[in-house]
Amino acid sequence: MSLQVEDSEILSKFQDEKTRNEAFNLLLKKYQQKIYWHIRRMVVDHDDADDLVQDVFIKVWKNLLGFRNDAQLYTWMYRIASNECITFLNKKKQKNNIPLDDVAYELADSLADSSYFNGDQAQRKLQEALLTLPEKQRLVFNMKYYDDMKYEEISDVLGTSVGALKASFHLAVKKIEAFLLSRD
Amino acid sequence: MKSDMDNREWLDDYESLKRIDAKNPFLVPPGYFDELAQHITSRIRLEELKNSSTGFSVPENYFDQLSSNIQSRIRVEDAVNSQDSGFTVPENYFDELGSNIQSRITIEEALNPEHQGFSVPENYFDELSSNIQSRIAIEQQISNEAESFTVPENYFETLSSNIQSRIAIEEHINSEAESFTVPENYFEQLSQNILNKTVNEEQVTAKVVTLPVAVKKKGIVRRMFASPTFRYATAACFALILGIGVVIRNADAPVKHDQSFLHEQLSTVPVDEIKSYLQLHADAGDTPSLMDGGQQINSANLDADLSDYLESTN
Repeated sequence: MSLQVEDSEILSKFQDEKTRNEAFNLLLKKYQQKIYWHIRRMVVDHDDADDLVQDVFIKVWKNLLGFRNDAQLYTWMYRIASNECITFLNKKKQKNNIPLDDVAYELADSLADSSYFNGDQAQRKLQEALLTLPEKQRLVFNMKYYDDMKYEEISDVLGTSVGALKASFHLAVKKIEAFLLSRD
Repeated sequence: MKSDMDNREWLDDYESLKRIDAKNPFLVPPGYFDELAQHITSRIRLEELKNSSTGFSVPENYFDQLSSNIQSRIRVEDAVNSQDSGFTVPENYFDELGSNIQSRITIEEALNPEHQGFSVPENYFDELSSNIQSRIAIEQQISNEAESFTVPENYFETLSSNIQSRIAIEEHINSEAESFTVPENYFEQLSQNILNKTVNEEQVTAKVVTLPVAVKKKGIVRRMFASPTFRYATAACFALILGIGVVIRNADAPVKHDQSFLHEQLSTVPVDEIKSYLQLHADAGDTPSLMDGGQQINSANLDADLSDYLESTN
């Protein structure tokens, strides 16, 4: 990560057709894991996350020429990833015709069966608690708790005001705390 | 609760959550991120190939306009193939149309062989308008000159009634003229009667001269008795009769009428005057008396009448 290239250099190289592939490779190496984990924490399953992360970067490739420099590149990609996650979860609910709570239980089951989960019991409880939250509250919590993003950056990703984000995060933490206390 | 929510100190308020390790509990397959970039790049190439695998392209906004274009085409086709247009043509019309047109052209050319041969003088049509206007001006001038003759006011309104009145007057005059009539064949017999009284008299004997003439002119004789002229004439007649009697007795030779006194007297009178006299003094009884040759003429009366007439004409 120490050899990361500045976003401005990536965008500049991407504008030139001769260096476009090189710029995109630099972008992938810089942001692929961040985007993956952002997706993985939302959809839990690695394979679903893998499909979604590829979809996200395909969209980035197609739309990067029209990207405006007034926003940060990574918040723009986070927004794409967040939308893809919400779309995926909505499709999953519609496909299985099950309510939101059942989706949470299904995700918890996949978490339990997943071989790609290395957390302890407390971390598993935390993930179960997160699955009880609405998607947007989960997005806010994950970006704040795991990615340590500022509210302004989260605001750019979700298009929500900072105040609303703070209230949403506070509400999410209280729910999680209550969930954890109830399971102790 | 801490005021700075961006600080990780907010976890101090939530003991349960604080005890949990914030490390990412999820794992990925070994070497996943080493290959992820390659996977994404391959996926992008596949996406590009999928989108451009056919190599075909369509004009811009082709599919946006495709629906309306198809519908328009369908309407056009329906209109062209519609059987409800209401217009029909006789059977085999279009099959025969070409030959019919050619026949018509041939006929037209035969009827108008010189149709192409007509020509007009150069600049004819350029000057036609001005020529027509000049002609119109001349016609108007002529008409104005013709209108310089005038008629009395209301002449033509009263002309018809005037003509009818004139015709009525003429007819009335003619009808009055025709009111006088003569006996049938009067004028045909008139000439012969006059000749019988004059020229043909020599062929009539003295006996032929009839008295009825004197009788018929009895009114005239009566008037003559009172006149002195009649007296002289009567005396002359007696003298004449005596002289004639002497001559007849003394001469056996036939009488020469051209030597007679009456003949000499009559020969000096113009024929026209004699005709006028007869027309004025003859009546219906003259003719039968002249034709009656069995009666003798009254010479004395005849002489007297003749003398009166000669005096009146002198």
